[in-house]
Amino acid sequence: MANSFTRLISGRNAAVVLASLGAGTMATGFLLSENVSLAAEARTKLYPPSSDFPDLRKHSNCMAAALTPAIYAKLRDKLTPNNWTLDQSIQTGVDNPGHPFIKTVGCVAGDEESYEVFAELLDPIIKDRHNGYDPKTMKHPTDLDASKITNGVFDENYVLSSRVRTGRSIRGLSLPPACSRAERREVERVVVTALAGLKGDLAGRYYSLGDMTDKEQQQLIDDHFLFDKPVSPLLTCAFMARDWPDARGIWHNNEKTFLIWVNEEDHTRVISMEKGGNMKRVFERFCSGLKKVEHLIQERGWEFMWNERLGYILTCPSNLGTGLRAGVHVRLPKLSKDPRFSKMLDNLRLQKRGTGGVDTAATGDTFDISNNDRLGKSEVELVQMLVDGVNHLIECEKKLERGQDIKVPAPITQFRK
Amino acid sequence: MAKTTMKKLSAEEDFPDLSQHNNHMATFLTLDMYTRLRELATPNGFTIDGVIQTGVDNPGHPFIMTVGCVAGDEETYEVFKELLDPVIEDRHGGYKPSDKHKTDINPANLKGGDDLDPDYVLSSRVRTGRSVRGFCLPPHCSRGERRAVEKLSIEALASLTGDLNGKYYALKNMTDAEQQQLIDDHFLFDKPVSPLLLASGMGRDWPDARGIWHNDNKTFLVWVNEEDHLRVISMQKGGNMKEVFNRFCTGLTKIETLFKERNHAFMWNEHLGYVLTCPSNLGTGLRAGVHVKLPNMSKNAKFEDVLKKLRLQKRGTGGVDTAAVGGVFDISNADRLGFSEVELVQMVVDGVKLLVDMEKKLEKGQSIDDIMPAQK
Repeated sequence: MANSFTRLISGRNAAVVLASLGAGTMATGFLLSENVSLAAEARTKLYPPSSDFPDLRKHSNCMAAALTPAIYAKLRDKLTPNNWTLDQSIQTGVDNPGHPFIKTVGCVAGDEESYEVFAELLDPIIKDRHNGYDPKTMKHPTDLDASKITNGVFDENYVLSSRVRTGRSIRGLSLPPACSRAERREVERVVVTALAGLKGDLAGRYYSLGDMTDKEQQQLIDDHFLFDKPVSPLLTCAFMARDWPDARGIWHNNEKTFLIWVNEEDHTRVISMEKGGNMKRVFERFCSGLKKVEHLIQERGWEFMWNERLGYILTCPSNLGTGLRAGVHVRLPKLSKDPRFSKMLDNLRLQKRGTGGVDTAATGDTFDISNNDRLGKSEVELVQMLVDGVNHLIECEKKLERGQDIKVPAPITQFRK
Repeated sequence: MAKTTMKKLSAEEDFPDLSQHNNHMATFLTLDMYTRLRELATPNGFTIDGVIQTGVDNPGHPFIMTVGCVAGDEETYEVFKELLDPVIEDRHGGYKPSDKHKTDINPANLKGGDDLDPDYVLSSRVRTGRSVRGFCLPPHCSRGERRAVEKLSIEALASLTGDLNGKYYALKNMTDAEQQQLIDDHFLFDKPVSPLLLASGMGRDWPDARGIWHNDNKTFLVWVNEEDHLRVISMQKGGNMKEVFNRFCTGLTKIETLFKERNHAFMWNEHLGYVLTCPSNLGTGLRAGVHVKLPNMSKNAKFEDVLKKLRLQKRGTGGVDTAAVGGVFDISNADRLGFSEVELVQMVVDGVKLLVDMEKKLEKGQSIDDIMPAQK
């Protein structure tokens, strides 16, 4: 059995393959080199892709819907330049079968190149998740000009708070599922150095998760800023909690209206928020802050991961494009009890969550209402859709208060034909 | 999860922050050592980061010293010996890199053990693990390898006959009724929840290729692809540890023969004995124990000292990291490596006999000072 392999691979690699065939010898270690994938070469022949194909019969996530044995066979032995594999990308989807009602994505990117190397799997997943957006043919628009937003100040009798979040990845460093401790610390260094350059209403401070005092921790909890080690198996199975809390932290400005999470589920999560209904100002600060941070990292030779096919590159395919979730906490006591509420939200391209965020229930009549879409529409377009949608919902609530009837608005067009 | 790329970033930049840590790995891993080991990989691509991830993610506890590292394949113990040798020495009572481990699974060599008082000793059990040579271990194996181990195990176990005749239940295929029965029999294992195991990648692809085999008599049980390739358990109610050990040895020997007939050996060498995923289970991988009623003895000030002298440890009746209920303790051997299987079971048999004698004396209000053991 050894002979057929030594024919194929010469030199040191032959010894590697032989040893891995279970010769039973106590092999000495082999030096790593840039381009040798010991695992892949040694096992390709012994284990054809069919022997490794995951059992997805009980699964209900985007990855399970898109992954065929043929695609798996083609991609299993491919590596990104950071040696990230398909098996690593899909591990979270294999380990978390999902739920018939809640379709999770079921795969992550380990680096920017994952979206190219594994395009054959990720493109259909992106299309499925993002309403038919076809990365092969379409271009994603980026627009962070907040001045274009109209009617962006909500009635504060209804809207309690306004928030916009997105993520940004630092080009050249692996993403949270794949990064080494050194890379993660480099992300922290790059971002914290840049943030230290922010001034005026954006001047602020960084709190490293590992170093913060009890008092600082309590303050961050009270401000609803603190993030904790992920417990969701969706994230832990994607290797994102490794080395916690090393190189994780929270930066916020002194006014507590602009906040950045470092090395949680993405390199950075950027959040602009305020009490009240001034979404326009929240978005203005969001855009201004993002541009300033981008400028500051560029001064030091770094840039964000972005391309015109997929927009901003983030860990989860669901956050590609803008990575943007703009939302409000809004009281809709009458409307939320109306049987047409869900349909209205669908047509307005909005989603509701509880006030604890994703996967929480609403308390009382207050809902977190935000945009559904991330990719294929620009930041300005999505925020405007949110603004128009929330204004409409408030109008409906007021009508119901006055005893008037309401109508379900026509659906906003998407890409799917 | 192996990373074989060497980035432009240095070893110093990658070295874990172990300042809050208390486990065997953190005790011994230095920057210099990490710098050297970071250059290496086993033939299967397992790296030092893979070895130590569980220890980095689980800082440990001042009172409970966990190991903090795992093997991804047999070669891990050789390639990363610079770290694992001191860990092994620390964990296994001074076992040196030059020491040889004795294997003895001849049950005839056990003296006594068939007469532990069943009024006190409620059940007896012996467990160990075995790894199949040529396959990566649970932290690192692919789905294909894990399935190959399962397939081999099913074939081998299906050949057992007589009182070892039994049936395999794949975790992903079992019916609700089968599952309930296995739970009632205390046989079922579930997806690990302990972060010690999850952080090392052992929960991947659950429940694919995991399962439980047991004989019709429910006295011999094999777990497939949980924390090790195989965990082998012999157990029964009462105090006849000799019978339990007989069955254990017979069953293990038969299984080993059946694997060899299929051209697969167990991972073993004369320094480390049987090679398993966690360095704490090297050597015999053997834990022989009883559930024993010691309500008086356990309240006695000398209890811990006696256990220490007898080289025994106590656990709650739920197993590791559980509390004792109703004065009933799980008492088992503390050692794994450097003593043979027979020697370890002998220690349990002799030690439990003495503990029960002490319990009886304390019941009668007598002193136990005159029967205090010497340090084994």
